Amino acid sequence: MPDVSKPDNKLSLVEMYERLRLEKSDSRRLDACELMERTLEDARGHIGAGNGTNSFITLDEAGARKKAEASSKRLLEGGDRVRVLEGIPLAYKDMFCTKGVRTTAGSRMLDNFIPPYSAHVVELLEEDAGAIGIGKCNQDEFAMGSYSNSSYYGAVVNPLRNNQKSDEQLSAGGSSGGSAAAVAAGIVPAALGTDTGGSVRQPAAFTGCVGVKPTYGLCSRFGMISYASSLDQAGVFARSVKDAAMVLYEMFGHDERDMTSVSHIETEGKTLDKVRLGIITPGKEHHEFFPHLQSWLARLNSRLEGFAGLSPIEIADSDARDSMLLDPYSGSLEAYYIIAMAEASSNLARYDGVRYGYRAASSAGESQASSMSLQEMIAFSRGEGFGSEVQRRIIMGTHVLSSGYYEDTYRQAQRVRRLICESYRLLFARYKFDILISPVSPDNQASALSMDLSHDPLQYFQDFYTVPPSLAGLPCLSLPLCKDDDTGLPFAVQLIGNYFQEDQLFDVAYHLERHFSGAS
Amino acid sequence: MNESSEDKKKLAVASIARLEQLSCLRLSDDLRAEMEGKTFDLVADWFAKIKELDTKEAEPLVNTREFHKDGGEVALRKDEACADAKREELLANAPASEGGFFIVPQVVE
Repeated sequence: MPDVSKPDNKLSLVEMYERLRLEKSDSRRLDACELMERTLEDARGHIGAGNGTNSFITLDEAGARKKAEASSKRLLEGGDRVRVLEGIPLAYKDMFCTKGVRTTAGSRMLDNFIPPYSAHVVELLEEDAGAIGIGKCNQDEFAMGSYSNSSYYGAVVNPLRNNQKSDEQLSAGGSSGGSAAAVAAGIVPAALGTDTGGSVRQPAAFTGCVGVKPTYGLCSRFGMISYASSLDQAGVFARSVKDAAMVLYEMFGHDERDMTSVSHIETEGKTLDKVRLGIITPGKEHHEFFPHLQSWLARLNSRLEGFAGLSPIEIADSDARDSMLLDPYSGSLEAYYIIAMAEASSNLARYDGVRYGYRAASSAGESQASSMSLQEMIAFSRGEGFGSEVQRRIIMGTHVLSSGYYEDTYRQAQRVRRLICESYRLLFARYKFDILISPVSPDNQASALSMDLSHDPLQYFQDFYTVPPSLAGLPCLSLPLCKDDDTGLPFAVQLIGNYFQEDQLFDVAYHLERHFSGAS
Repeated sequence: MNESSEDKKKLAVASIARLEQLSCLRLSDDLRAEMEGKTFDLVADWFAKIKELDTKEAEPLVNTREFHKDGGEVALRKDEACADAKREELLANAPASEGGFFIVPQVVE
């Protein structure tokens, strides 16, 4: 029975789907245009620092209205022309190119950039599935960060508050914090993010959303602004597992414009009662370095008791206890940052102030142009157009690729990456685990927005649990299980599946969600 | 500051100057000072630790695709020129253009 008391745009995606399709005579029927108006009105209160969550950088009101009118017509006519996500408002992290709509990557560098094409996933969601992008979400600049505070457009604010410090603003996590906050604040039922080393999973955990990062290669990266190409994947935020699945299933498919996009997928899901769950955390001898880990484990174990008759196994106590993935010093965090920064230094070389993007003012081709060489013009444009964290990463990425360091750092990181992939293969193939469960972040919950780690490499530790499966390219899902008794903030877990086992991941997540909500 | 940390600072200053040149990036004075004073060494030393790990048996991994069940090669497109966007569309985002070309500072004397 649909909940008629909720404002239309706060409904779940599944409820929207159902109510958009009701007969015209039915009082509960939603009209796509009315839904869009309410969504846009809500979103307008969240653009710019100091406004709501600051989760949006740009809104495409005219475009969204036009599409809503066409969807409304299709829905009224009914029949085959009605597409799966017809009339559903979505928001996109500002890493996804949208034809004719400004796309900034949260950077001054792209403040005026209007792409002549859309990302493949946006094409699939809008043209094939009928969803409507209402605008572009705020984020860490070029997706580099874990707090969504490095954006040229100001920090994102988490819509949730800590019960014990209710006047304190919290970080929405990062880098896709705007997408997470837009979904958590109920502006849109789902939004796209990008996940290189945890940028969907961690903000999802901090805002109480479901966040899914699929297998590397499932979704095309065409039109997604590159950070670290061997790790970047599109992902989805939603307020329930079903809603997230509905969006993800409409945005994958082979695309020849991305050579890493796969054309053939084999899945082999098991029924829930056959699924073997493994809890994967640093071994007990390392727990003193992870102050929140024991309470996380205790809570997980007590709550999972009786879940669908399954008993999750702590991998540290199993035959697989030798796995290097239990060792926090396995090199995965280092390997991740070496590879990501190296790839970033190469990918971001395209921003030269010539073809698009910011150009340093004194060389705008006018009065002072003659005072700078081409080389200087490019170097100053990059120095002024990029923010500090992006520049740090370009410099460090260039360092690991430079002669004298390449073999011992970059190539060594690629070797560690192979060992990590092989460790996961052992857990899935030899030890027969189907889904691995771990924390999402060492802190477990959102930190205060005022905590600024932007000058401190300590911020990189935030990605401790999310980078190993990113290096292996495995599908992962961040799932809020319940609220913390004291803070009222979400208690979340990360589920990791084997390659292309998204169905299995969604199935387990859906049942966990029901179990924890008391529905099972 | 003892001698070795002075040497280290000198090394960081030289490294950063070289990296700015390699990456064609002019750091602001504040950011350069921060990196020279702290961040560069912190991150470079952290990265350098990775060489201590035993990886003798492991070849460098570039693409995770070989771990997929069906393995499979990366498919490349045919090497053919194609025009997905019009010239005017592409020039529309350029900071400076004229007569259908990008404008850059003079490079020929």
